[in-house]
Amino acid sequence: MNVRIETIGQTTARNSQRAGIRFAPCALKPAVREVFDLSGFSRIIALHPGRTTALAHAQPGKA
Amino acid sequence: MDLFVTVFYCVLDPASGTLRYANGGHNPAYLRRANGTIEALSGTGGLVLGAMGGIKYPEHAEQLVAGDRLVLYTDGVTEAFNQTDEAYGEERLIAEIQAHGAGAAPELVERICRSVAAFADTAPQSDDITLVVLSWDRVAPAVQ
Repeated sequence: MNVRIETIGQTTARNSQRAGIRFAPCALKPAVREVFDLSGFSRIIALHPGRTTALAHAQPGKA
Repeated sequence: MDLFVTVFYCVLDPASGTLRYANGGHNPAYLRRANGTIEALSGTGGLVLGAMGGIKYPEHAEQLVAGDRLVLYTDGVTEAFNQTDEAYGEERLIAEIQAHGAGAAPELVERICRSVAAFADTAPQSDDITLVVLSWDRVAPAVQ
């Protein structure tokens, strides 16, 4: 199950990057958050508390 | 395909009982101390292998003392599901280590395997199940 979540996250992040789209996951349920933390993906993918900050981060031109 | 693996890499110095390790996205190893307390080894959260190059993995160390048990496992253990889609989970694993960790390594492996099998019952196995238990019973030589 973990593998599925991680693979979806990683593939989405990579495809987004290739397509010039920002990937900004938000409001992760604790169990999902734990998977991102344990796998280390939360170190390379910015996670956001809610949709507002995620959308702000995803705006073109934002660092 | 986007594939990755998790790794728990450790080196045990048999002379000193020092365990040096690094963790790349793997579940925390459990250390059952001789006095019965159980610690999840720190250092989790390192990135899985295969996701990105150039990642550095910090080295951690633990000192083993006589009576300690080190339990390594894959997530097929904690994510063995039963028929009602409930995961075996860390708590059941820790309870087995707590209850049966005083004995030798093969016994603890057997106990955990039986517990997981009984829990999953006839539900299909969702992931590989691998267990390694190390019994450390060597008394450290006195410091010269």
